[in-house]
Amino acid sequence: MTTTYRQKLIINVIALVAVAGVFAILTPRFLTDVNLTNVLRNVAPVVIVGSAFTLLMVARGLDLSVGSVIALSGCIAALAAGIEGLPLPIAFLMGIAAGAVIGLINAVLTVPFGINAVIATLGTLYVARGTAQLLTGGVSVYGVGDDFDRLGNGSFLGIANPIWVMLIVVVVFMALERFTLLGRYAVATGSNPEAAFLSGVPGRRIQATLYVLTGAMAGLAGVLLASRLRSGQVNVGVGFEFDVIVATILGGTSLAGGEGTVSGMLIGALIVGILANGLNLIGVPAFWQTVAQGVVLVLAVGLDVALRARLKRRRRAAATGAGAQAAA
Amino acid sequence: MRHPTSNRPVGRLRGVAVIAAIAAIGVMPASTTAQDGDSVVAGKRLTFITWGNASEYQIAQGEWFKQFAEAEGASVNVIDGKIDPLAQIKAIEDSVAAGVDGIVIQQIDPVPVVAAVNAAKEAGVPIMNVGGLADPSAMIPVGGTFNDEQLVRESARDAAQWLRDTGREKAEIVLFDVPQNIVCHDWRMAAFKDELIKELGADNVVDVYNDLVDQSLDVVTTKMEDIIQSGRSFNIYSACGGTGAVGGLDALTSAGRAKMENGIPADTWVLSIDATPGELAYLLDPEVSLMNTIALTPKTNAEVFLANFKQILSGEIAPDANHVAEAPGVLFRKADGCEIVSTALADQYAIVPGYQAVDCSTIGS
Repeated sequence: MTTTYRQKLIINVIALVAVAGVFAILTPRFLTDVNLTNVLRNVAPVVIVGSAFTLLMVARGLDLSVGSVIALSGCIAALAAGIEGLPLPIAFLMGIAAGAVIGLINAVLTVPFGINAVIATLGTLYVARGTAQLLTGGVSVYGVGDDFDRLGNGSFLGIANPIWVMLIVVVVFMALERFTLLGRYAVATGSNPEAAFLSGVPGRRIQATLYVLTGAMAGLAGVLLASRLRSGQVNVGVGFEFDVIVATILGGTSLAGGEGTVSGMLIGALIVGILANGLNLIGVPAFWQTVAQGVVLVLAVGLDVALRARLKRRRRAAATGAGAQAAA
Repeated sequence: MRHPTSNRPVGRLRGVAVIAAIAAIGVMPASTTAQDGDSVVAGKRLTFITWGNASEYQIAQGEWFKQFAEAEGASVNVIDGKIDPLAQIKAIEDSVAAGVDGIVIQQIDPVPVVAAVNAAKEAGVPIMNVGGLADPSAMIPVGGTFNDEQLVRESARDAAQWLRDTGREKAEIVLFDVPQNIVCHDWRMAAFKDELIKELGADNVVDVYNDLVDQSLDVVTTKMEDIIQSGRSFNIYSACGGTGAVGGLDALTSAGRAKMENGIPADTWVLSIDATPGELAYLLDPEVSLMNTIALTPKTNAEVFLANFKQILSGEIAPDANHVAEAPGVLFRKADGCEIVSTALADQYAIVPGYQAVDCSTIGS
């Protein structure tokens, strides 16, 4: 973890505490079990997808199809459970698998074929959404059975199921990030692809793996949302990719790759989630909420740029100083 | 003045009747004051969750409800539903967490919000649905349902009469639908086609194009241009919402279609729904064959919604009753004339910032 990144993380933690603190002061309803559960349950899909998405961005990848994958996987799970009458675990696995397949397509398009990730994943964005519409005839899928919504609306030991799923995914991806070669190679690939290649890091394989994982996590989020909505919704997830990107960048992941953590993304997602929730609690009009979210994103990116510029100046100063010493 | 194809008396007398009907419906049922004379909403914090603030109707509906409720001492937060069931779920949950005293919601889709609605009921927060039927498993009162279907069917009968009067055997229809939306599909487009079938017989109603079209202006216009370019013959057109109608009409008029001849449509009979300013300009244009426009009445509907919600708060309607009230729309025909249309709608939409009433001096009557 670089100094710059550590600084960003500290600032984010302070920002999270500050935002939560402001709302806790403005309304006594903020720091209640019910409300905090709402916040965590609402950010869960973003965090689940963001966990894999962060590592992908660290490795200089990008996936704009996640929102459409959420719709596709949710519809497939609903069709499998409702129309085909398959057992729920099978239906849910089919939804997740559909996400992984789209991830694989993204991997093939971007890695061996070398298509720009923005273009490739924009393409799969349309393919996934269109496929969902084809499969469902453009209408929502109902009649999924009474147990379908247990995953999205149920709880275990008093904690909502989506929160459990989010926690498990975060722990798994933090472990991948810190304790496996996948995580370390992602950083190496993103920091300096040429040097990584020369060092024998299988950068292309790492990226491909991360595309598949991102797709699978989008599939999982889609299944979770479909369960929460008690139906397969063709139009769910529109713009979701931007929610994930905002959380990831706000959490300190660099747009240039090579830097970012799952824990940072979690903080970023919580900042955005608390902001949206708090503004609703105190009754701020919807248009102002949209403006606020845009301002937060610009500030986050601005902070990234400012810290990098400062680091560059320091390095230049250090290099100039070292050069002068050597000359002397 | 008589209707151009049905010869029924229309015009000023009917227009006066329309306005009188709106005014009559706006008179609230006697109810809902606390024993000391204050309204039951006085001092209450309420949330109004819209379907989505993409249309002036939605904005007006929310703002009128807020104005009327706050005039009686309530405080109202209007939340944009963003045409997203998930956003509505979050709005319900946040409102319950905020400890509001009541929630009114125009559900985009009744099924996804059931869990959130039930949670609100369990938390003791009265919640009422408006605009469409609630999911039966949630068992919440419906404070007002639009009568789109009734007006759409009436318009289909007008269209069928035009076909008969002009010696056309078949209705060749183009419908720009949003199939996943119950209001668009079930109450409007499917009902329109169904009524045509009842009037003309299934063999005489042909789908030239009847499918999902993203109801944004550029998409609709392009789609209609492609249909015109394909050379397929059609004589009836409608779209789910105002934007769909205007986009389609833009393309039709640019291609020299949707004209009037001797006061009746020369080639295409058009129905629009929402009565946005763009539609009204076409409705009141004597050269364009937009014949009927269904106008939603946000001010009147907001009064109905508040009246019903007060009955829930006062206990006159049980919070889990399957109660349905009607929130009326209005059917304007071309023959009604600008003054009537403009006056009625200006009153309904006056609360929308920047709303511009139709200027009858610039439009032929």
